[in-house]
Amino acid sequence: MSPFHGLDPEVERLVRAAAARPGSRLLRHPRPERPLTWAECRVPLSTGTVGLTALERHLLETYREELAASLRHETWQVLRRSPGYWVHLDPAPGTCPECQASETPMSRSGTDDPLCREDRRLTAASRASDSKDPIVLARAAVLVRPSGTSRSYLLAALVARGHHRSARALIDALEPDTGDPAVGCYVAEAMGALAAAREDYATAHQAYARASLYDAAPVTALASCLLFAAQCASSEDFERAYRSVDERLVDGYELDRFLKSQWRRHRPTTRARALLSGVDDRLGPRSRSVLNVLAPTL
Amino acid sequence: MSTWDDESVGWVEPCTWQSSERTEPSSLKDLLRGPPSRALRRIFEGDPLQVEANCAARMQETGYLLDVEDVTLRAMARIAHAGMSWSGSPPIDLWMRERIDVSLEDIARSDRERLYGGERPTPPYEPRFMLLAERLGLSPSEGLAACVRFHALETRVRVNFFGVVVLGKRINRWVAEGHGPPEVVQQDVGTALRALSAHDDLTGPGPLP
Repeated sequence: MSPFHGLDPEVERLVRAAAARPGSRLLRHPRPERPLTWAECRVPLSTGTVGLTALERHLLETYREELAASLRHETWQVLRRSPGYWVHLDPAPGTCPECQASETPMSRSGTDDPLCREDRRLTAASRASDSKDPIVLARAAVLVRPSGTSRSYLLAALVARGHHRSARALIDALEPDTGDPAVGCYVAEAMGALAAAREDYATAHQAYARASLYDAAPVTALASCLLFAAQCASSEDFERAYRSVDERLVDGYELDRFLKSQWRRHRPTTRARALLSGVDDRLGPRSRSVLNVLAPTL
Repeated sequence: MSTWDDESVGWVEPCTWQSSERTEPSSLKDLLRGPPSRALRRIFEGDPLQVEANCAARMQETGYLLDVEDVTLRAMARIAHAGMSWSGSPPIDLWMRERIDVSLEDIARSDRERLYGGERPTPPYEPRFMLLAERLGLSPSEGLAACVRFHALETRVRVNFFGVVVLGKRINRWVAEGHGPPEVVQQDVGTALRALSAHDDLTGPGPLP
């Protein structure tokens, strides 16, 4: 395979001819065995971006939306295979109605712009990672389509990989996009996950309760709301949380796996166990299933 | 946990000359009025004049091997500095293009001064040096000397090299886009490659990697 990624064979011949001249410095430096990926690309992703192949340019020109949706889908696929993934992302590939709304172009370069600073960090992170790193994939989605939705996936990837400082910066940057219910829900869920990670269960409960207000709130947010309500909220708050999520919870392997992971990570207090025991008799079948996962020793 | 660094990324819209015609002249004057520091803040935040996109387009039109972010920041500073003098004529695009051209030459001159001052790039390398390394196998530590030699070439040669090597377009496609007969494009690319690969820069030859 030619090492001249994306270059016209005629240009390749010219390069070799120039390199063969006495004293030439061309082709003396080790070159990458594969072309740089988009995620490794530091330059902006437009059809005029330097370094893209003709095929990549064509993809951007013709299938930008589909490409971004595919990258988001792949991000979700990687995240859901990760142990203890924390958020439910819409896996629907191919279509991306969210992209039609709340479009906010990525901020321009500037040293004081948190999103710009964040992107600089992500660039370095993506370089050091392989293509199955959800951060790389989500960042590529943002590069292709800098929408609030794409950045929500990036937020999910950052939280899942423990880049909490970066996630907080991205949450700030996503603030203008939170009018979009999907983005607002993901942001609230991310805030809950970040608070839970620092064992601030009261804040986590508030954030998950906010996430659960959205019609499209994922079951993981609803269950987390219940979990952290038991951990820290008053009995009344727990009752309220339980009532608000009971009818919306559904069973499923993914949810079970998520809840078991949460339960291991955030050991319930004695009081939380008591609260969960107290409502056990009044639960509907769905919530009972959830609580069986949350509190297997009840 | 990955390590972070302070590398910068610019965001640019498609590489065609961006018109600011949608913005009324009075609004443009509002953007550029007042002390340069305030004008700079207004044109920097959100880039309402699309300076970055225009810089990227102009780099392609003139065949400069520079980093778009450097050019953009320099151009924004020049535009802000000269903003008070813009009276609405010539049209903002033309006026801005002049500032961008000066900025391009500013940085190219700065490259020459860095080279003549004995500077040799060290990691982390500028993206343009990494691009030359990736495309041509040229050591990034020699990128500065290569760029200085490249910028001394005539514009047509630079533009043809930019099209087929930097943008990676096929020669036939590049020719079809109106950049001269294929023989001329090939000849120009060969000229540019010889300039980039020369070893007689003023800092003297460095060690081979």
